[in-house]
Amino acid sequence: MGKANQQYLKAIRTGDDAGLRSIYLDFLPRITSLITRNGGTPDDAQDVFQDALVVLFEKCRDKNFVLSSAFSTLLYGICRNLWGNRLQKRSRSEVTLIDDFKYTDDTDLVETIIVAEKESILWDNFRHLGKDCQQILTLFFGKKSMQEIADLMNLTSAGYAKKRKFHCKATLLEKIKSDPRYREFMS
Amino acid sequence: MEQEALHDQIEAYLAGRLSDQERALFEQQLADQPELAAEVALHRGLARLLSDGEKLAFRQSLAAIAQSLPSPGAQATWKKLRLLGWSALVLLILAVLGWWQFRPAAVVKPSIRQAPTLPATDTAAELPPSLPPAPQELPVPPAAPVPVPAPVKKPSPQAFAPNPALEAEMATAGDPYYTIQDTHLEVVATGKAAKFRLTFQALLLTALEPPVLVWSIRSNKPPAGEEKMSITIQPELLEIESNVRAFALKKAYRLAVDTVATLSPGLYYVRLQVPGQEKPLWMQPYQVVE
Repeated sequence: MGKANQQYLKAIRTGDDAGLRSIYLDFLPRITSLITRNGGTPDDAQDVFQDALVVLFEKCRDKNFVLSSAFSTLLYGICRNLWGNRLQKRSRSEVTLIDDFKYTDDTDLVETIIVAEKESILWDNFRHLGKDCQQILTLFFGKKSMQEIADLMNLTSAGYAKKRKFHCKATLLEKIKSDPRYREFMS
Repeated sequence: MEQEALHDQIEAYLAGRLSDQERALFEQQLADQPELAAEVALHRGLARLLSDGEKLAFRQSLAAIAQSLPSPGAQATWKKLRLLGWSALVLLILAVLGWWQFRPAAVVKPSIRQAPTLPATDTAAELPPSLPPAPQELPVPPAAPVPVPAPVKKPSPQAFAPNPALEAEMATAGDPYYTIQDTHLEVVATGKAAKFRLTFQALLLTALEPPVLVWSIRSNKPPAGEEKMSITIQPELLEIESNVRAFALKKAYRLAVDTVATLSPGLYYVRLQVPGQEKPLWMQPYQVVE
């Protein structure tokens, strides 16, 4: 497999900022073209692109993962799959994408793609929470005790930290449940 | 308070902190209450996302990079503006050239010298010898070369001619058991040559189990039209009050299509039908113009 392909994978595996930027610059235009030719907007393309990179990140953590095609082919295939799923949910009918690119569907990826799509809805709502709420929930799910959270965030007591955590989580759950994409996913 | 207690219970369940008896009881509740099961699935998804520090950091990096790049929307707008500017310039040049080509005679030949008034005579021999030679017309500057625009391929009249077979089929459309109403078809150019975004919405009213439907577009090409696109639609039950009441009443189902197709200008027939049935449930002609 080419050196460039391995460098792209390495950037994803290590979260290297410069490497990730080069992936955006090298591949986002082509993905934008795919999505906009198929009823999407450039912003849709950026969302899909980001989710595709998360899918690849997940795959890279799998020790058995071997890149069996060019990086671009794999990335394009994932984006195509993600966008096809979204279009299908919007139209509730079978969708055929207009496409000028030969690619192979990797069935191993399908499960990872579905998980990434669900997570993307949760993540989008999480990152729109206030900074305090993001911090308290990250600490809570990072297995910190309420007392540690209270200390780290200068809150008056563990009891108050627990109250704050509950309110932040309830707000987040409410946002997610009212997100149309979540409802589409659950239907 | 009740909700907080529920959160505590779900978190304890997911963290494996419930006793065997409590867990068995809770799992029984999950089996009986789908809403509770959905709530637990949501808590589990959130826990999976937010407890994975590595992935969280990766997502944060991507978000920061995406934010630092010029917004694709803005890029597209800029591209459109640039295209608009170039189009305006080309139109202006064409307008000037057009004016030059067809400008009025008085303006076109301002440089022709006025000939002196002569007595009415036909031949030069009769001219008085003292008369100066007739002034010659100054050469008219050659017209600037006008770029010939590429011929616009006009659709033939046949492209819009009704197809008798399809018109006859359209007249038979309808089914006593399945009513199609509130249809709305929108065809919007995507900006790419011959590519159109098609959105179709309608209601299906039926007291029967709704069938999967086929939505298709046929051109008017004789003899029976040519299928351009065919999509399977799964009717979606509308959650309206009338749908909850008596089972024998007709229920409403939403039909929706959102797709992109390549269509040249002409007459098309959009059709909804139950697979395997010859008669369409609904059919309508649609003209696609440039």
